[in-house]
Amino acid sequence: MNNSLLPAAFADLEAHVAEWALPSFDARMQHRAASSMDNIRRFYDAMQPRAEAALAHLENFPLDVLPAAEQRLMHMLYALAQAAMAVEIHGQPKVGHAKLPIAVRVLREPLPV
Amino acid sequence: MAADDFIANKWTQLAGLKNGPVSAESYRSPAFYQLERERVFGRSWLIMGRVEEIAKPHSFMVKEIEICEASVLITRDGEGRVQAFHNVCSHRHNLLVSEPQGCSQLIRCPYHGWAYGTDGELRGVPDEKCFVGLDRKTAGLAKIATEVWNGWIFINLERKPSVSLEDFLGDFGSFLANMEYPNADNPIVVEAQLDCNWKVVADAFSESYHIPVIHPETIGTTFASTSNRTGRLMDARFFGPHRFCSMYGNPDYRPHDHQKVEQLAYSQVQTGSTIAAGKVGSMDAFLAHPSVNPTRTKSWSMDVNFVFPNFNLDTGPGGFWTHHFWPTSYHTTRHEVRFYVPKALTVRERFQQEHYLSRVIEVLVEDVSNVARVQRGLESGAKDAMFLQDNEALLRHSVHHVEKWAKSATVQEAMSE
Repeated sequence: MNNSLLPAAFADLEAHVAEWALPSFDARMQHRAASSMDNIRRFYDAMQPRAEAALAHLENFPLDVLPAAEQRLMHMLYALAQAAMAVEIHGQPKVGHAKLPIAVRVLREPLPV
Repeated sequence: MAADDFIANKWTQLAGLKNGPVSAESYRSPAFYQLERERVFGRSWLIMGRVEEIAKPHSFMVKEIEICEASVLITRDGEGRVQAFHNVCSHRHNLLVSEPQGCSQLIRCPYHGWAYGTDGELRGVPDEKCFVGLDRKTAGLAKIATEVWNGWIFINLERKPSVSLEDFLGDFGSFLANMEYPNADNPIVVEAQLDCNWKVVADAFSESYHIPVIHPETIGTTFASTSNRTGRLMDARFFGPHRFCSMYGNPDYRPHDHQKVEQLAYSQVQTGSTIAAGKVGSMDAFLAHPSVNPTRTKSWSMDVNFVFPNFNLDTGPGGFWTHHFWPTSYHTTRHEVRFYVPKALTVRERFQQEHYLSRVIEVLVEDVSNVARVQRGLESGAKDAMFLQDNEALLRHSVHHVEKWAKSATVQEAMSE
């Protein structure tokens, strides 16, 4: 039994799993919005250069039944999309005039989650 | 095109309205809200959802209309018929179904166990012998007038609607008829509880004048450009109480070099535009409809089809999405948004959808984080009226028709020219 949090080739990203491999859109969005820019940037700088390799790795598995380690890697990619909102669009953790927690909730996410 | 090519100053006139200040009262008056309850929401045909949400026989869903204190149970019976009922048990009026959707031949009241079929008929009463004179035939669920039109489920809370759905939609029905709805069975559902009058948030999604200012980084550069800096409309049309506009889109928008994740998300997935999740090719029939981008311009971002009183059907190069603006008090609103997306078949498609959703949620957050400020300003009473420009003609049209319905003793009067 392999207890690795992420697929072996992505072991260097394991330090980010607990914070960013969150299982729902709202959890990832709220976490990013409430984080400091330095924190978001650390995750973005680690994950962004590995994103293409992560997608290529995940393409070897059926999308709707990913093994646990691959599922976490997928959630890290989703979290990267969130981090990109801060880094690539706003230049700050969230919409400047938005209050925390963010008032918008996603009741049904894109599938599979 | 140069900036001045977009000056029309004719939309207000097209709407049959005069320029000049517009009263702010309908946005802040508790008394006006009571009129909206009885005369706008209580008498209009209301879109509750699409037939795909209850695709299987014996499936059902519950929708709340807070302003009318109505809980609405919409079912598809064993014969495939779609019908809305009050979600209220006939026995002691307990709310019958508490989950948002389900599928079952029998719907049982959680209080004393009365059971109903999905056709609304009363099917079972525990210890029925003790109900002297109970006639099951007259004790089914209370029906609500229901029509299915192009896959949209409409209801009308008047016991006997004053106007048929066909007459209510009028020429707007012809304008929208036979539209294809790609991915109608796969919505992303989003909800926000907002501290503003329902028309404040509806207004935010009916004009593009605000886009370069409120949304400078998210979509400012996709909805405006040097040739149309302030988001002037491409087209606007008015159909009785309903309305339409077509918004400018910058055809030259591309992600910047530093937007590495955005580039990756869109690199191997063909969507209709940079902010869309629909797949190119599957949209052809939808995009060919004469009322989708009716000016046939390349500089197109989206169209708003506003079905009176509270529903937006939006169309864009990547498909359609909807807004419901449900009043919950004179200064609070439940805002529901649905983005209809294809089922992701590959990891890359799924990642692109996550990026797409992340971005449209940021746009929504920009809009809905501002509405409470507008409401506070309105309620301060600082001003009696708002100044609206020609490209905000849909807002002027909205206030005009809501006020007209609120003032009219009959629907016929409200609908008169």
